[in-house]
Amino acid sequence: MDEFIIKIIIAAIGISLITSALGCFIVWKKMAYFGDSLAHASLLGIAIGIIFAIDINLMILAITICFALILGYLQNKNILSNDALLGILAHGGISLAMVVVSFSHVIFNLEGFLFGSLLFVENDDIFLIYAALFIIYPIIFYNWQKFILLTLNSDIACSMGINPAKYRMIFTILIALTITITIKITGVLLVTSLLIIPASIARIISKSPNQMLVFATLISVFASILGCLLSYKFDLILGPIIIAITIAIFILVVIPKLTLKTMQK
Amino acid sequence: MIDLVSLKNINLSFSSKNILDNINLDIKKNDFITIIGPNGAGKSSLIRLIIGSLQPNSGKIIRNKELKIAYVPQKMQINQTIPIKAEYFLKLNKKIEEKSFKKIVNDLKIADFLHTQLNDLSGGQRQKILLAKALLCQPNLLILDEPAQNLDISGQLEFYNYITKLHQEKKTAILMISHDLHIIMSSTKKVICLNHHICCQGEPKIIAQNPDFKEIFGNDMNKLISIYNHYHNHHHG
Repeated sequence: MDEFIIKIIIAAIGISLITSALGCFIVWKKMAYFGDSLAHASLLGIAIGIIFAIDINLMILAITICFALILGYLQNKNILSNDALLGILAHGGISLAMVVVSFSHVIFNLEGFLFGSLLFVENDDIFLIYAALFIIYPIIFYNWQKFILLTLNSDIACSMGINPAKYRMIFTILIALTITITIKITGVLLVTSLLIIPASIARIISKSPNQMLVFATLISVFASILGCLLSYKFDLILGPIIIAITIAIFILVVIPKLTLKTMQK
Repeated sequence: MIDLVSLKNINLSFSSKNILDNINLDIKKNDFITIIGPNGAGKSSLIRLIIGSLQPNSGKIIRNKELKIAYVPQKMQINQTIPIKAEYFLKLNKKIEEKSFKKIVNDLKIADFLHTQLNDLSGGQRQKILLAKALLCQPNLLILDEPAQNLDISGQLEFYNYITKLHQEKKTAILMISHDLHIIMSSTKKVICLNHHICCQGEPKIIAQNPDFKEIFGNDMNKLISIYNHYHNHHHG
């Protein structure tokens, strides 16, 4: 194997470690659509970054955090349902991005950003992924029980002295950070899949939150490595192949579970 | 007696809808307060203000330094997507001495389902686990939101007897939303009738003579039912 593919695999493993941990919370909090909307909106960050020659990662992070803050503000105002707000956010972001791009004559590899591409991964990105990992993991594990309690019932958590607003903010920033570093591999459209599919498979076979985290991580890392190898060998598009593998695992897990349930009835 | 929590002129509204209007309430050590009122009267919001998960639009909430709140939510309000066993839940975010853990497990008779998933517990079992979680915090103010809502009659009696015992033996102050006044009438020291504002409050016996209260519950305490129509001799704007 050459250096190129090893680099990609190292990047994919780093991303899997991050997305599977955050993914558990996304599944528990039923925030899949939230993650998806932020990812869509991040396309605007990419467009602005390319056209004004600003660092793309920085712009994605800035735009996702901005949109998350705007969303939080609007949610508190109770003007529209969460569902509608997220839809407006996601499609507003995409449309604005395309308008911005059409103003300039920069060549914009849209497909690459929508579905991810191996060619995007550089040494800097690997550094960034593992830097993010070293920020995200300590925060998650140090606050693991607090996050779980908040997810179970935020009022109980609040009565025990945990500030829900503070942790909601921390969580939102972690999601924005995760989306930023994941987009290059999976693309804008498939970020959420890497967050929710491994965690959902793990949910089916887990009896505790810790178990779910471990299973989600194993599934995600396995799918990423296999995906990278297949993508390299057969010249397949990277993001979709990783997701296809997780879907295959999902089917393998869910069918026996369903059969078992039907038999019990 | 010292106030554990003191609410002064509290107003709360969501998107221009008035939820709570000029609420004044002191909760003292050894109080046993029951809040009653129709659906949407702001009962849960009042409790969430005291816990600190809602902030008032105006007014002040003064909390005593010694205040240790524990909260028992309605059973339906627990997120069901997390795979978690009862024991894991009980020990979340709290270092617990094995001795006090065992005592609460024995007192509430929950040993048999400590290793069951929260989702698989029956209504009564889950309510006991939620109560155990609250008690492990060793509170001096226990706040409960319709704790016995989904229990059968014997389950309700058992639950309220336990709360009463806790109040009498450990001197834990109790603040509870409940419609089961017929069961707790003898335990509760104060009843607050809430419909966005405090309509009437006082000792159960005295409040039973209050015209507002009579309109709600009628004269015959023994025939109190949990679902009722809320009528007042005044209008809510």
